[in-house]
Amino acid sequence: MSTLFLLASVGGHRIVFHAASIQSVVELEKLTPAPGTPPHIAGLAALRSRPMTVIDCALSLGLDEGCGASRKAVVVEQGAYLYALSVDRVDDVISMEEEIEPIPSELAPGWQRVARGMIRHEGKMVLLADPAGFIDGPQRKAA
Amino acid sequence: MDDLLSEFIAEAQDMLGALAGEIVAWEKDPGDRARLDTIFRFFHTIKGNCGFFDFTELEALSHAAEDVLSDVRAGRRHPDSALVDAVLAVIDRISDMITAIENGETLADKNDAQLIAALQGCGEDETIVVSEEAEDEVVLEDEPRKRSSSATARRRRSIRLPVELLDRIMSGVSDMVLARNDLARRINQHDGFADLEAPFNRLGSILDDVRDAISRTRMQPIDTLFSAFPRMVRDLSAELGKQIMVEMENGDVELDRELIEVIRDPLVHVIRNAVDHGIETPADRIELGKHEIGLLKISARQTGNEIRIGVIDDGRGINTDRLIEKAIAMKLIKPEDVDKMSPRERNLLICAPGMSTSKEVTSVSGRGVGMDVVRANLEQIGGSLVIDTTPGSGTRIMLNVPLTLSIVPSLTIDVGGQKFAIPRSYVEEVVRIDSEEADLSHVGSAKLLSVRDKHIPCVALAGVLGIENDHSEQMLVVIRLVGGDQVGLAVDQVIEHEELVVKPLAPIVMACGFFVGNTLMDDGSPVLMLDVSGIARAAGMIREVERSQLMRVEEEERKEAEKRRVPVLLLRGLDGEKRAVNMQSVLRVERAASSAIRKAGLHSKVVVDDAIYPIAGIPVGYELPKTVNMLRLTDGVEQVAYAFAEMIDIASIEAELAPDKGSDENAGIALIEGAPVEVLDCHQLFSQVGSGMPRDLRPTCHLDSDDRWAQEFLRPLVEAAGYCVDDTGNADPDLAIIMDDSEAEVAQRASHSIRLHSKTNGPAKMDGSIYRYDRERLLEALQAVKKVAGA
Repeated sequence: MSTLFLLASVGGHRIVFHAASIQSVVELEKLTPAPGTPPHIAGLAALRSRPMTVIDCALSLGLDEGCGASRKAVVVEQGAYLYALSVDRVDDVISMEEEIEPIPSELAPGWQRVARGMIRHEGKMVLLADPAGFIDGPQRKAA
Repeated sequence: MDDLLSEFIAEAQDMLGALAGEIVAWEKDPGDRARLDTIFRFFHTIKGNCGFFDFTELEALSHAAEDVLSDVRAGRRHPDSALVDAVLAVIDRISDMITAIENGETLADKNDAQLIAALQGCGEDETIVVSEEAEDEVVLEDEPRKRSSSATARRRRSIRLPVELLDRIMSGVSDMVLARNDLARRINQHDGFADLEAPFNRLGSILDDVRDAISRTRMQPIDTLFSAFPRMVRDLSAELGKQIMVEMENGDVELDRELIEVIRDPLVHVIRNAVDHGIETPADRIELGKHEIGLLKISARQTGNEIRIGVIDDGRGINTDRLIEKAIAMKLIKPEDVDKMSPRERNLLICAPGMSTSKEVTSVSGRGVGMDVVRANLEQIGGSLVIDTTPGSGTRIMLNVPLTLSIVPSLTIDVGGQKFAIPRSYVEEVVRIDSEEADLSHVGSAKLLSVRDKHIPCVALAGVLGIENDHSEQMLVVIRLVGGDQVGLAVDQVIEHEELVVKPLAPIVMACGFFVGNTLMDDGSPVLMLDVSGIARAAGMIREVERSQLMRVEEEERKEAEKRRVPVLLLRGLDGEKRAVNMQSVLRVERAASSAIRKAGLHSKVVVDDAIYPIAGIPVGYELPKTVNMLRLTDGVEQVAYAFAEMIDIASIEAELAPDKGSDENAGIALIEGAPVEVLDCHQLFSQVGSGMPRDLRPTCHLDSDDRWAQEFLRPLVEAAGYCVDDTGNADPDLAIIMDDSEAEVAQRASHSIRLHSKTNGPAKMDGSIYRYDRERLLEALQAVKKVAGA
C-alpha cells in the first residue's frame, strides 16, 4: 500500500513529510517578528485568521543560512497550534511505498533531530522529516 | 439578573439531567461513595446558587438533603432505602421547582416540611408520606402548564449550542472581515467604482455589527459574574453578624462564557468560605486589634496567559497545622511526608474531599465540600488553584483560568516600526516624554520618570525586546503591575485603543516570557500582546515586582526584609561626598542655571519657573558651575532644592540607620553594597532652610500695601524673619510696621507695632522709631516681637 509524501528542499537537501500531517502549503506574506524568541522562530503569520508560528527550517537544523528569501511554507498543526515550516522549495507530492530505512549515523545533530528515517525515491535516499523536530529547534532546553 | 437566572436554570437542568443516571446507580448500591459525592455536590451547588436569588424553599430543601447526605458521608447514618427514596423525592421536587422558576411561576410552598421531615426521620411511616408527596408533584406540575402560555412572553428565550459551531461561525466572520478589507484595498486602487462605494460601505458596517455580535456570543464581561457578589456577601454577612466591605476590581476582563459558567460555582464557594470562616466577627476583630469591618477583595486580572481571579480576605487565615493533623488522621498523607510539602501544597490540603478545619457547621459553608469542587472545576478547564494564607492576617485564594480566547481592551504601540499590544488593565497612564509635567532623568544605568510627585523606574521597550530603533522614544506607557508597583515602558508611539481578540501563542513563542498571546489586526497581520510583568522582570525591575503586596504572603521572610528597607537615591554632593536621599521626599530631579541661584549660606535661594525655593547642599565658598543639578525635595507642604554633583544610582537601605554624630546634615549612616554612605536628614534640612513653621502658624505682620518701599524693600526682610505678611489689613496682625508719621488705624489693632523713619537725622529714639536702614535694630525688633507673638 502506498502513502502520500510531500517532497521539499531545505538547505539544498531534499526531505519528505508525511502528506497526512500537512494541512496546506502556503506562500508567506508579511511576517510579524517575535523578538526574544529562539533564532529559528521567524515570526508570526496568519492563515485564514488563525495565527501561525513561522519556523525557519534551515535555522532549525543549525545551518548557517536561513530560508529567509523563500516564501514557501508547509503548514502543520501540533497541539492546537498552527506552525508554518518555511522551506527553500516545495517540489511535489509523491506516492510511494512506505518502506522506512534506518537513519545513517553520520548525520549532523540538527538532521538527527528531525529525521524519522530514510525513504528511497527515484533511486536516491531522502530523509523523512518530523515537523515536531523542526518546531523544537536546536536549543530546546535553553529556551 | 435575568442573565444569571437563566444560567442558573440551565445549569440546574443540566445537572439534573446528568444526575438521573447517578441516582439510579446509587439506588442500586447506596454504599457507592463516588456517586454519593456527586449527588451531594449537586445539593451543595444548588444551595450555593440559591444565595444569589430569593428561593428560600429551594434552599431549605437542598440544605436538608445536604445535611442528611453529609451524615451518610461521615458514617453517622446508613443509606437505607427509605433515605434513598427521600432523597429522590427531594430531587424530583427540586426539578419541579426549577421548572416553575423557569416559567416565572411563584414557588408553591407545598409540603416541603414533610419532605424534609421524611429526610430527617427516614422511618417506615415517612416513606409512605414521601410516595404520597411524589404523587402530589404530578398534580402540581399541571398548574404551570395551564398558565405557561401567558408566561412565555416574559420568558427569556435561550438555546444551547455546541461550542465548535460557534467557533466555526466566529472564524468565518473573521475571514469575511479580512476579505472585506482586501476588497476595500482593491476598490481604492481602481477608479470608476464610485457607484460601488455606498453599498460596499453598508456591507462593511453590517459585517462589523455581525462580528461584534458573534464575539459577544462567546465573550462576556466578568462583571456579569462579579455583579452578584456584593449582594451575596452582604446577605451572608448579615446572617452571620459580620461586617464586611467588598472591594472589586474587574480589570475590564472579558471571559469565554463557557469558562464563566465553570468558575461561577468555585468562586461562590470561595467567597462564602471567606465570609464564613475567614473573616471574624466584629467583636473578635476588635479584640485582635483589627478594624471591625473585614475587607474582602475580589479581583480579576489578565496576567501571562491566564486570567487570575483573586479572593483576598483579611480574616483569620487557614489553620494549616490543623489541616495537616486532619489530613494525617484521614490517611490522606503520611506524617513523614509533611516536611517535604511546600506551604502552598499544605494549604491545598483544604481541597481534599471531606476536609474542613471549621469546628462548627453552619448553613453557609463548612462541610468541606466546597473546596474539592472548586479544585475539580478549575482543573477540568486546565486552570489551577493557589492558596496563600497567613494565620491571623488573611487568606488569598487565586483561581487561575487559562486564557483560551478572550477580548482584551488593549493599547497598541509602535516600537521600531513594529506593532505590539498591551492589555489596558495594566496601563495606568500614557505620558509624553518631553511634556511639561514629566521629567525623565538618568540615574546610573536606570531611568527615572517623575510625574506629579511619583517616581517611576523606566525602561526602553526596544532595549528589552532587542529591537533596533533610532532611540526616538516619544511616549511612556506607565504600567501598574499586580500589587501596585509601577513601571514605565518607553515606546516610539502609542497608536490606539482597541478591543482585541487575543489567541494563545505556540509554547515555543510563549517560552521567551515576553508575550501572552497574539491577535490579528484588520489587515490580517498578527500582533503580539506583551506580557508586561515578564518584561519588567527581564528589564531587571523584578525587585519592584517582588515588593508588591500580593507577593508578600508568598514570601514571608522576604517581606520582613523588604518592609524595613526604604528606596534611596544615591548621589555625590557638591562637596564630593557620597550621600543617600530618601526617595519618598524627592519631588523631581532638575537642573538650574547658576545665575538663578543666590548663594547666602543657609539662606541661599534658587529661582525655578518664577518661584523661589531655598536651596541647600552648596558648600561654603563653592564656585558654582554654569548649571547645577538639583533635587526638589518636599515634605508635602514646602519644597526645598538640594544641589548635587552627580547621580550615582538607586538603592535601598535599611530604615534603621546607624547614628552619625559627626554631622548635622546627616540622619545617619547606611551600608550600601558594603560601603558606608551618609543619609541626608530631611527633617534637619527643612527645619534649617525651609521657612520652618507652617505658614498659618507664623506671626502675621501688616505692611502698607500702597507703600512701594515697604513692599519691595522691607517685605523680603520681614518674611525672612519668619513673618507672614498680611496686606489686607482686615485681620488683627501680630505686628504692624508703619512708616514715618502715617496714622495707620491698623496699628491700633495690632498686638505690636514698629515705627520706621526715613530721615537720617529724624526724631531718633524719641518715639522709639527705627531708621529704616538700621538693619540691625530692625531685625532685633522683629525677632523680639516674634518671640512674644510666637509664645
